[in-house]
Amino acid sequence: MAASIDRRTLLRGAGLAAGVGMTGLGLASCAGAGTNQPGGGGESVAIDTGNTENPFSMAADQPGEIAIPDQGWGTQWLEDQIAAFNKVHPDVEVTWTGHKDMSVTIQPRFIQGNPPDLVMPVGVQMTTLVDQGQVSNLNEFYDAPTVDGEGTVADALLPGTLEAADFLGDGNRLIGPYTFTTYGLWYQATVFEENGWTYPTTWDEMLTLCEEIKSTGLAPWAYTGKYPGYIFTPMQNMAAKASGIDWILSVDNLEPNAWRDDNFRLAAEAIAELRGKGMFLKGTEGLSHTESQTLWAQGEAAFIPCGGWLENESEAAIDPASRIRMAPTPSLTSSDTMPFETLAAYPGNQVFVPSAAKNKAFGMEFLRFMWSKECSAIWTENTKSFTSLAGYYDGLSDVPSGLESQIEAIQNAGSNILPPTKYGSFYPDFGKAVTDKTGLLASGEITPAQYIDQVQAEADKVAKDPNVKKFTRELS
Amino acid sequence: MKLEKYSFVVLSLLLPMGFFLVFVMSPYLQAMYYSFTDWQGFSAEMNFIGLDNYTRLLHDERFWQASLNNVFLGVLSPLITIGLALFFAAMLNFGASSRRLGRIEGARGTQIYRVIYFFPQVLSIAITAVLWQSVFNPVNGILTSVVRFLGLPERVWLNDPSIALWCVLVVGVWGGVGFYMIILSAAMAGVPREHYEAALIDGASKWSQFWHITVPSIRETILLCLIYSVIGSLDSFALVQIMTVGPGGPDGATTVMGYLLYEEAFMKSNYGYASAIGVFLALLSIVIALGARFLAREKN
Amino acid sequence: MTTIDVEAAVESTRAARRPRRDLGGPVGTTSPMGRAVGLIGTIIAHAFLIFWGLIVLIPMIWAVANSFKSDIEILGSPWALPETLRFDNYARAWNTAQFGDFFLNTIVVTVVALLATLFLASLAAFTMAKFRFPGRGLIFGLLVASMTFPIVLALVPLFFIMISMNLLDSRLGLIMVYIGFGMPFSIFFLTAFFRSIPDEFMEAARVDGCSYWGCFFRVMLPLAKPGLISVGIFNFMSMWNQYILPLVLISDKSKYVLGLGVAKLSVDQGYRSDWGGLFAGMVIAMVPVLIVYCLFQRQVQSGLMAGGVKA
Repeated sequence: MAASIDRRTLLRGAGLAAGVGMTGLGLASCAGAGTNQPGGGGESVAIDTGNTENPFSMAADQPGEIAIPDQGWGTQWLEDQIAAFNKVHPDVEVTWTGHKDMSVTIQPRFIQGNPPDLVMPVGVQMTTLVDQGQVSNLNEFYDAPTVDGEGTVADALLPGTLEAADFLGDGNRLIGPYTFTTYGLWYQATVFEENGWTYPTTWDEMLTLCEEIKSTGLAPWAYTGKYPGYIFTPMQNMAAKASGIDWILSVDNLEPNAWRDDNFRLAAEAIAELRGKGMFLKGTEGLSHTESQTLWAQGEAAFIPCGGWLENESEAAIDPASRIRMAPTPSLTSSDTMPFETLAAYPGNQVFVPSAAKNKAFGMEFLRFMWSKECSAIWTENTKSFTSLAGYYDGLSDVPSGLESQIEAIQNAGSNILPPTKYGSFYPDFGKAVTDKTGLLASGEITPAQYIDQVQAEADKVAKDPNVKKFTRELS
Repeated sequence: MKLEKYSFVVLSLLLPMGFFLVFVMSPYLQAMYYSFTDWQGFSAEMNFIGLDNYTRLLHDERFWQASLNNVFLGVLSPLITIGLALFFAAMLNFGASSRRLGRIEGARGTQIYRVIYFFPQVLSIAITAVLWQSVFNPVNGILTSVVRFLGLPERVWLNDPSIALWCVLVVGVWGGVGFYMIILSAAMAGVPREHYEAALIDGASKWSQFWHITVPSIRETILLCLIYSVIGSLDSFALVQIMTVGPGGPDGATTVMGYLLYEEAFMKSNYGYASAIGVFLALLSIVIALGARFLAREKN
Repeated sequence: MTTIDVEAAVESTRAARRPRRDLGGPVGTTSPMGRAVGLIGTIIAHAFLIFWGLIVLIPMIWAVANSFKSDIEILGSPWALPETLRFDNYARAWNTAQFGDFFLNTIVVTVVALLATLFLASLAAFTMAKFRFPGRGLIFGLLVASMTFPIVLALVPLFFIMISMNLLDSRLGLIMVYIGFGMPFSIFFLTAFFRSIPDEFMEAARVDGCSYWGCFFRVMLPLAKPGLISVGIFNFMSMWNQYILPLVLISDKSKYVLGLGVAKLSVDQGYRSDWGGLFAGMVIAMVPVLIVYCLFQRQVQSGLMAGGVKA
């Protein structure tokens, strides 16, 4: 597993760093490391914002190279996108590398000063790349017009994408978060209809429904215990919906007692209550994602917390007649700051243009192209998930039930989109600690009170450590 | 004459030592150098930071936890593995009918045990780890079903922080017993018959013979096996990396130094720090090896 | 491993090969009472032995059974037999999951590295055993030292050495690294072996006008055959089963070796469940080496007793 960091590894490693698609396991710049300015280096690309056809003056006949690993989506989408790109730019010879272990294939290229032109860094730590000045500044790229000719790239993207692009929170947009991943609870609509159950919008309803589900012999919840990030997601989202987005900022900024937030405590107690009342599928705390999702798809459990990729990932196990759906986590209290429809949805799977790339203009042009309606549709068709381009999915037809429910969830949420936390990528060891402790909480090893004490203690430790470089996150 | 000799010496050593120096010795030496730098591996930029990595090591809780886990495995794994191996070797030798005792070729039946017991040793450690990961599966693993059948409390094995490291230990023992059993069994067969004759006159039981004659006669082999086993258990990397939750979890419960090094290097790009962990591990191995040599000399 | 150990081990192989005048071992009791006790003891002994045998075998048999099951069956009762023998699991493992490639890679890498290791190590060992020259002690010291270091220590620099030599992610690179890591133990063991061959053989050949190369190829190498077999077995097992080196040095799936392939398939699972395929892949990795072992088990075991330790 040579540093093959996928979304699961992300989840396991650093809570929701998954959302921003960071490797999540890096150590934020230890003392003395990295003196280069982020975003520096390399030749700059002149941008003509008036030119919709070729704003970066990409050479029509110079080859370009892409390195995007297969993270479970297959590679057909990329081949299709390259084919579409070549229809417009027939003389640009596009090659691509799709190995999972980018550290082995891509890292040498950086060391030799010969990186590909567009890279999705998997298994290579983004903070290190930024620290070492390997990443181009994309601020001007975002001001270029979209391929579809509707405003600038920046304007065309879903909420949260630009914030994620500003990797360090210092105003430099360094990355292109290509995908948009929704998070929530999955259930099987057919099973619910047969039993006359409706999806609970409050936690009280959830508990009542769980009792009823349990009485039928079905396990109310399954979760991927092997990677506890999966069970942390609903906790975080319920707490954030109750306390508001400011809570997310407070934990990211290591504010004193941020983890002692009342609603986060309630969320932890909610998960502990599920454990205490025997609502979890037996043994689920030891299951991998494939195992838990397969058991859920086979009807062993009613709910499973997972990201939008579940439908694609567990395709083989899912019976289309069960009509799987995803919905936002229930409201934790009756006085939640944000409505039930609020959706946790994170831009992720970032790509970047290496500062030492030979054909930067190609890297940018291809990224711009990936964010077209055509390429976004190609992505969705192949992966049953979304790119971070706004609105293109409205016109999709023939979508499977899970994807349909995700589109509805995005539409219902409107501007009520919960951003990801970033502490896991700012302070990866801390992120890992939170995930680890969450695993203990969910399997009943520690109580909510102990859990909160331990997590807060870890946060305080980071806050006090003068050797850890601190980040501050603000939302515009 | 001299010329021919020296040219042969040089030519014959050139390639073997070349491979050895380039791919084995030089990495070891470079690792020591890296351990004094803050290298992150993406550019030639590397700052000499003296002992900073080592200072950091001493303050790294995960490192200490990993060290404790290494000690746990390094003590229990050899004791249990060699204990079982000795027991089974004795069973093989004593269980067989007296006349055929101790023959390496073995009596009918004993050879089958030798072959089967050795199976885990033939498997790649990666296969062993994947196999046992399935055995430990809390829903459909065979271990869970045995426990269920016996009416014992069900556990989540690798996910239970209090027993996860035991699970790693069990797999290590499973893999090692056959190997050491063969060696010990051969050593037992080599004990000269005369040693037992006095015991026969005294009418000593087989067990008494075993403890008072066999074991003391092969104690050097036993010591040797213990050393190999300790050094082997220092490197439980593959089992931890493939099998455990996290890996290295839950909550660090199964992190060992080898895994920590791998994670720091190949997942966090902290090559300098990772090298410091490696140097520490190497020092530990050397201390154990030297200590064992010292012990062996004392005995002689 | 120390010098003393290997020499003692070599001595023990040679002892094992000598016709055994004395079978040794405890002397059995002969009275009727003693015979009864002996019988009970035998039964108890076999009971323990069978118990451990089952512990060893059951997980492997279970893996074989699972390799014929569908995913749904695998998630069901672990003791149920497969409903039908799904050979398609094997077809998927061999083709889709590329176990065919992994298998071939493992064979190529292991065989080439093994032959090269045996040849180079015996050449060096011959020189170390039969010549006195300055630096010999140093070479010995380095070989010994390197055997005490854990492989993980070498990983980081090795990774960058392979980058600088353009050998990262290549089978040739892996072979060269295997050869390097095969040297210390092999040279060590074979040096002790060559030392045990009397000098007269070589002296006689020299008198007949044989060059040193001729001595090595025509006289010493044939005499070293038993030693080469022992060392070969060790190296074969450790190379065939290698995991950590390919983990770090190989990335392209088409260049995986078996151990790495199974681990990757299990950890990444290609992000999709295919347990049947995973178990089939494990069986593909397990069974051939088990068969080879069963065929050569006598040589393996006596080699083991000789080596006393894994390479």
